[in-house]
Amino acid sequence: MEWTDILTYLCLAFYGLATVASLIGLLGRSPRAKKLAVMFCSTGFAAHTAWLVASLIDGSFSAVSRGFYLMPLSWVLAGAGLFMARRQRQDIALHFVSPWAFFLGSCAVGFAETPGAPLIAGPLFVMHLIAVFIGVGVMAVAAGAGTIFLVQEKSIKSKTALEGFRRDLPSLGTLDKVNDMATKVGFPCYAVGVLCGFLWARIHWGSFGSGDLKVWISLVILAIYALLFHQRQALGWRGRKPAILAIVIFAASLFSMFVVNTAFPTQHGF
Amino acid sequence: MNSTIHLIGINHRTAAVEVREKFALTNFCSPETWAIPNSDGIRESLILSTCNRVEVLVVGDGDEPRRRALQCWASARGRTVDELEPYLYQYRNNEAVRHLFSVASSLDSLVLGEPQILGQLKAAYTKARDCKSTSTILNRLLHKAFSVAKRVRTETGVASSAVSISYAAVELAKRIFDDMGEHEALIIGAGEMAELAAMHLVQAGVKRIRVSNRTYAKAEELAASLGGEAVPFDQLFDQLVETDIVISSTGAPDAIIHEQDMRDVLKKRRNRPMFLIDIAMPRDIDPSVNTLDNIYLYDIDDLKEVVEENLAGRREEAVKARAIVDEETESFRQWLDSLTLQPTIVALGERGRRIMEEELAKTLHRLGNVDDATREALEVMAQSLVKRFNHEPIAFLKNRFHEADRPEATLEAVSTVQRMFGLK
Repeated sequence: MEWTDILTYLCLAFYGLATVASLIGLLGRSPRAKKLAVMFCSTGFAAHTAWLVASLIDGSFSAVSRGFYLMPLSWVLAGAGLFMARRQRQDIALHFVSPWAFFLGSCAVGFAETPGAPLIAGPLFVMHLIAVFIGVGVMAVAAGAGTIFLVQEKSIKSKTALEGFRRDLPSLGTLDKVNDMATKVGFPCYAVGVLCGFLWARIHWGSFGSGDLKVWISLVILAIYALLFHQRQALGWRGRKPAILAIVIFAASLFSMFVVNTAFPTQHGF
Repeated sequence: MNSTIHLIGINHRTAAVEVREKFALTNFCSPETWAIPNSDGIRESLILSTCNRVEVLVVGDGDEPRRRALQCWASARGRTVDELEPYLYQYRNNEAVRHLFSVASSLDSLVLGEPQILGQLKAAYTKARDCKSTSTILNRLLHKAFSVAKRVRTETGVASSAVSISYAAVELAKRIFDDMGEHEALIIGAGEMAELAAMHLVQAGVKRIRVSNRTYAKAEELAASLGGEAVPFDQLFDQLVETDIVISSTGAPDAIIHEQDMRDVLKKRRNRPMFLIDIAMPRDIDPSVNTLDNIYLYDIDDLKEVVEENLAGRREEAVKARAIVDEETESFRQWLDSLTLQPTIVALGERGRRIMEEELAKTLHRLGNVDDATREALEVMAQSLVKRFNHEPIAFLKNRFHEADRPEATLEAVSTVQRMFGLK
């Protein structure tokens, strides 16, 4: 077993523990469990970062597999959760990134042997990956916040009591701020990521598009992202509609990542 | 020492306000006027006199302190015990302790879980201490009562949700807005309920508060009392554009804010959320306004329902709180029982010390001139011997106290040790 593998399992273990602690903390209304969850998630992220650095140094990225790219994505997601939790001074972002980081990391291990596209090095490709991952990662956080927003808002609007752990959840304003921050960071990143992909394709394949289903889905996601960004910034959309759009964007990203990558012929075989 | 704790009192359940005011002891709690003097069997006393209850705690031997306290209380108010007795509840020892813990934890309050009573109890204790009317037992009991109240508040949700309409409105606002300090409030009308809710908003730290009323002078008056500013009523909709929280309580016969008005307002404020609290009757805000995105409208009935649900929640939590009170009452009883051992243990120690000093003096006299080091070594040895001789009887007493289910067993052990060592 390589020592990078040890780091992989270590960070997965911490994300797993963080997920369990988050569930206990949120559902059992236990501040101690919530603190533990934050600690586990942060430690998992540290191990994950160490893995990323080690992989870059020893050139593991050349070993292209479908799963391999899910590790950086889950790293971005956990990082986005940590960043937003710190900015908002609310741990809630961490509580819903831990399960996703664990899930994506586990998928990465599961798909580790599945061959992907051959590595094509170069700054455009790297930028394409990083920017798209940030765009999807922050939307994962926004989708989590959006789901809670919709549930909480429905109760407040319909004047039904918030019971149990729902009393401890953040205010609607806080949840909407998560969406705002994610949109401001995520849309430009995602747009740059898609653009880099097109430029790379034009340079290496000679044409911008290849008719790949994944490319079409990315364009649809970009269009929804653009709508969300525009409506928020230009028209001042807040609350329910942006929450729904964030959930749609993240759901489409998951569809693209897991259904298209595995069930359809695609050049984005990772 | 076999002290008895007595608690006698009247409260909102046993006596109407007319009766409570006749027997209130609010003016009898200073060192000059203390109503329950520590004499005639009363060793310690405390008076708690609030608008909802008057309670007297006394400590002494047997039933005499209770009778004496009743006489003092009645005579302080120029009444007879017979006039007071029909409204009284009277507890002793465990029951008195349990009742006091329940009162401190606000389980016996008119509004279950309201926090005011703990402050009142603390103030009553401070006054009793100033009057030097408390000692070992009441000091310990009151400190324990404060810690029980704290435990109940932290471990149960008995005080966690709003149970007044005005406070419920503020709690709801906190569920909508992330930081109250970033949001502005507008009070429309100058009703009493709106004023109360506005005061809660100010306490919650809203950024700015404005008051709008058809009579501008009234708006100015209320604004001044809230530390806010008055705005003209004809600029209402312009003001709404800048406002996040609205409390409306005008006497208008029909709605003054309609759905279309709020659509325009929302557009101008770029969909920033608004919380509208309509406590007017008839209502000031058309209910259809609640169908708009980012607007949350609550009327008086909605808030009453929130309060009812919160009260039901508190009642459920009170079951847990009572279990804590029972547990702490038992723990206090054990401490109280342990007091029966103290005089015997102290007497045993004193007897040992007396014998040690006598024998040490004799030995030193016989030895003649001894240096300091030898003298010190002899003293240390004598002290150790006394400690070791006393260890067994003290352990016997403590073991009987911890093992016995019956207090008589402890008393029996105390008597045995006293007879064996000739203690009084």
